[in-house]
Amino acid sequence: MNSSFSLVVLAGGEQPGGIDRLVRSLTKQGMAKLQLLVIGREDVLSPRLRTQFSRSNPQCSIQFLDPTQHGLDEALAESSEEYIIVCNSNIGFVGNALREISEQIHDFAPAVLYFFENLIDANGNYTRTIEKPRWSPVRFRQSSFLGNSVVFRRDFCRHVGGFGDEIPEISLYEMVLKISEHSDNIVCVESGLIELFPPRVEVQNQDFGSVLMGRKGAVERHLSKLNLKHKVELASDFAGLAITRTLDIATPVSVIIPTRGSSAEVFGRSRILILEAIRSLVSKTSHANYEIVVVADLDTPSEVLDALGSFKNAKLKIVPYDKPFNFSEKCNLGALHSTGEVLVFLNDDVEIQSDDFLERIISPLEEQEIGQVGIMMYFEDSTIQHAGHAYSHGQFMHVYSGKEIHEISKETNLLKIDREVSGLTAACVAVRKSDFYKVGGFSEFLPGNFNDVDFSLKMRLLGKNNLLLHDVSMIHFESKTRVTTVKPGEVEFVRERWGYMNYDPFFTQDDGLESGF
Amino acid sequence: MVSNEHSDDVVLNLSQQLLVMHDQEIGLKAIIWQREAQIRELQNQLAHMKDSYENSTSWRLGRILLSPKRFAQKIKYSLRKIISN
Repeated sequence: MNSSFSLVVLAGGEQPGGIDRLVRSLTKQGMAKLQLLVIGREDVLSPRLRTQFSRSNPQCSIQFLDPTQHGLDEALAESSEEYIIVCNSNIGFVGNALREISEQIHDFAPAVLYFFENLIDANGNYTRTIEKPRWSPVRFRQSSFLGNSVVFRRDFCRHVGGFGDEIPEISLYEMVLKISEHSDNIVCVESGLIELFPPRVEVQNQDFGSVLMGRKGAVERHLSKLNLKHKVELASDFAGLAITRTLDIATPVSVIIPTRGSSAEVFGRSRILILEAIRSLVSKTSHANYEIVVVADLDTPSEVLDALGSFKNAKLKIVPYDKPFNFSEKCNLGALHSTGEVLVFLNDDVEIQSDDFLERIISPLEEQEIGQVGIMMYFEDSTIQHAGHAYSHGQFMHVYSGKEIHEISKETNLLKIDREVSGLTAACVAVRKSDFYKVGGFSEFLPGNFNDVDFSLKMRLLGKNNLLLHDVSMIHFESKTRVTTVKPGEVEFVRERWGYMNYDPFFTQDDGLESGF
Repeated sequence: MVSNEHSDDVVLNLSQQLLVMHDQEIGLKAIIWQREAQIRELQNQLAHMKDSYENSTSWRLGRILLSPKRFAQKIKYSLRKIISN
């Protein structure tokens, strides 16, 4: 199962013996074949270790490329193996790292592969593991998460025209963007495969502003190739990029709202929830082509039904629902009565806050890899209700639920970017009707709970991502103290279908941290 | 002749059944996907076990062949220990 690699070490400006630690870690890997290409002077590796490396296996070779004349493209031209590992010089590979990478290559034949990193402090002690999210293209455009070592399939690098002349922090980032235009087979190994040592002083002092400017150019070229007319700027509140989409004002949309016409006290006053939800929707969109499909229980008060008819500006349809409560079936019924190309599912106990709501929630769907789009939701007291689902330790959770957004933003940049998540609440999501049909809508075997969890996972199985927009929001008048009554069999159904989920691949411990490429 | 309203109901009913069937189909695919991941994991574990077994055997053999003196000493020491006990 052992693959062979060309390992490119970026050691330009490294001190004598500066890659000894890295090469020492390679001699312990027991590789069948390894081509080591060092972009750096020959003295970055001690003569003793050079001999030891060459003797470790007759098929292991080492070659130095003068950093003043050669860059990544020369290393690519010199590479002899199918896979190239590009890494910084301040790393070492852990025990069976190359074997682990070989297994992933054997199982998935990825175009790009990256992995977690074990952070080592100045005293040489392990401090923690830097986790990376599963491949998240939208998130990656705003904030890189590659780290200090990336594996590329060589033919892809050549196919997209090589690395170019930029500094490695930019050219490696752009290489991943370029490859992602041709393949989504980009794999994250959820295990710390390298040890990351503190970088040298000159590397630490690198001008990150110019790196960001270089990445901005790379993202603009990438979006242009994808025919996406987004606006890219340097983010004002974190070291990353802010990307604004062109609004979709034309695609026909059906907004589906299941209701029973309930009233509740909100902000100290009683309101009929469905009416205020629709009022906020109508006032917060200038979309030219949308309809509202209200799926109403038979016991919906007649005055509510009459009032719904008073929304003159909106094209509104009422579909009666005459069966025992089944949220999924109500949503599906609404979809079957709809005419739009895009469906937006909306709970009736909400108040939309963001302008251009409909245009913004459906715009990301112009990217085929996005299956479902959701938004930020807040409780009545302005704490977070929904910022994406995370599925871990067998639990299904709303991340940051009940927390203040400014508290979270002190610790992570996660809520400053649009990002891929494991799941979205069905209280407000946009989905293409074609995808909705492909996955069989919301599962009617889950009438009350976890239908959105199941729907999100079905989207993932379809190869589509669930995207959370960080700057589109609404208030969800769901009680923070509401006790969810899970019916017998609901958890079992999800576990049987999707297994026990131990670790959420999109929500990591290190969101917001950025190092390396 | 079937009325329009009736045929609409039939289409709606069939569409709903189709949705449920698609849901079941993708549910089965999810279970297959799970099992495939488990098989991959087991295959990798098996390969690891095979490697570590082979490595440990060759490591021991290597020790005997490369340092027979030390190996003999170790045997002597072990025998002494057994006898003394």
